[in-house]
Amino acid sequence: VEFETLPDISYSGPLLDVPDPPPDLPYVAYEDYRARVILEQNGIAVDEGSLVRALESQPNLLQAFAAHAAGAIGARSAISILNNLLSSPDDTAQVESGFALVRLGEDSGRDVLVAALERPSDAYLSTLTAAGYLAQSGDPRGLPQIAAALNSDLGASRMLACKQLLFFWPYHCQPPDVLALFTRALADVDTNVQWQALVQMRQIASPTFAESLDAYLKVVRDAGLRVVAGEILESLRRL
Amino acid sequence: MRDRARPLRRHLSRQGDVDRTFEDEEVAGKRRHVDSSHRPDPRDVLGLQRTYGNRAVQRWISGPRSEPQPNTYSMTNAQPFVATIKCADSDAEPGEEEPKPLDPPAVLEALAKTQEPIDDLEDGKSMQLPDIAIPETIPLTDNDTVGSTLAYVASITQAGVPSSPTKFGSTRWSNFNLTNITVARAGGVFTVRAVLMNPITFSVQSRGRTNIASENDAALTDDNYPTAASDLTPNMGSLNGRPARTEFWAEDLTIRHERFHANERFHFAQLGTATAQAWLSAQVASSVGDVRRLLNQVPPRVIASSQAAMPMPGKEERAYGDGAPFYKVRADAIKAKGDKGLYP
Repeated sequence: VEFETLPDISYSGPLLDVPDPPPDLPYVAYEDYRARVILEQNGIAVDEGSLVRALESQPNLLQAFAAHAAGAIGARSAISILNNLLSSPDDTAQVESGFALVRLGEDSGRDVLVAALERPSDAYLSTLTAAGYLAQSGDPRGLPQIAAALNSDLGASRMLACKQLLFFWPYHCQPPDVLALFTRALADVDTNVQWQALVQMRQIASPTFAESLDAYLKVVRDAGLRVVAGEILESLRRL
Repeated sequence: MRDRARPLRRHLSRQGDVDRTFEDEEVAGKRRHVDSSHRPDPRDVLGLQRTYGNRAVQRWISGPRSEPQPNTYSMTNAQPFVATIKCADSDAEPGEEEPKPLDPPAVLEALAKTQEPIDDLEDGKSMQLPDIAIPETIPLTDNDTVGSTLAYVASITQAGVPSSPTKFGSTRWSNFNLTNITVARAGGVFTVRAVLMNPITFSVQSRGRTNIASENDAALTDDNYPTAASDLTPNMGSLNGRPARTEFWAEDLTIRHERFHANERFHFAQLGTATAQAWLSAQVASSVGDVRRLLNQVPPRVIASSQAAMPMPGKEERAYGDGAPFYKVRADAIKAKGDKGLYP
């Protein structure tokens, strides 16, 4: 078999050194914070004019963050280009534009989010993001995708699925048993996923977490995670 | 062979694996990970103390000072990147191909044009339908597959200065080079091999503070040791252990902190590479040119997936938590020595 050699591909990504959000920032605002910080780090102001220019000119991640920020600040002058991006070949830009349009009150975005649920989530992480965005806008139909991704072989899929759990908590009952998904995340082999679950449980602060946390404390080996889980459990018992 | 004389211990449990401890070992001049899960968790100071005693804790903490870690080392993803992409065959010269995605409506339309109208069938009757032949004008092609092997290789280097004068340290990780790309075509299959290089750099700076390498540092005096001890005491109320560092800092522990970030970026990029592989497997390519266009999207997808894999919040909280026991040991040792009047 003869091999053909292709030229090297060099890619220098944007600055992505996002500091932790302020301690009083609600979990639902984290992605808005992240988009804002990254855009500003890369010289893009978070105002309507700058975001529209970024949507028109930036590739890949920065375009997607600009779309997210446009929805977060209610940039109505971006609606036209956001609608164009609904057919972008970049699925991340597509989904971020969809959510931005939903936040701007445009129904066109919702269809794209729903359609994104059909894509395989291991190949397209935006499927999981779309599920979370739909849940935030009152539609929990993406929960099966989240539940399945928590059992994925791919660590990024499990983490991103875990990150969405808080948005499905308002729909928790049995079924759907969102508590069971938190318990599943606490049993993940990746301590980062366990941490991500704890962060959300800390914010939700539901007494129904007590049993799961109690069981978790009996098996967790990571000292830092044990401390955090213990603090959450203690605070729940004081409720 | 494992170089037991110079172990560079690095525990990655907070970066993705609950039960495994990793060490680097010298293999043919390169460092790589080896699983040493039988070893105690070196970051769990209490566990180390219980198992091996205070001397082990002291040795562990003092080890990096007596045998400095190298400023540059490489880590190779042990698992090869393997993807299978559905491929529509075409015979254009490499680099000359244009993407020709199959258009189902066009196929149906062309088929309809070739077919005569058929009368409705009465109830209780049967009829034979004409054969269905795909018109030659429709560029239908066979679907093949593309297998690819993409190895992820990261180098971690201390270089330059932090991105902001207000930071003690920073880590840069978003440069990727896809090199040694080869594509072979045989038996209706594209086979792609490439190496994804990810140079990760970190840097630290004193911001005018005095470095305290240990409780025996010559910069410590009877006058300043209380401030030094206070400056290096982890503040558990601030990001799970960020020390104040108003006048003094610990360069080696700051480097440890940035290494933590660099190592977690390595871990998350590994996860991102696996996700990019899954994405490649879900694509359809019709030519070498298509494969190349897909490969162009690999680095930004690795970055996006790496970002998705990173916990939020917790980046600094976990990194400071990693260093807190070591800051505490040093601060306590400074205070103990100073309280005994042993500083000049």
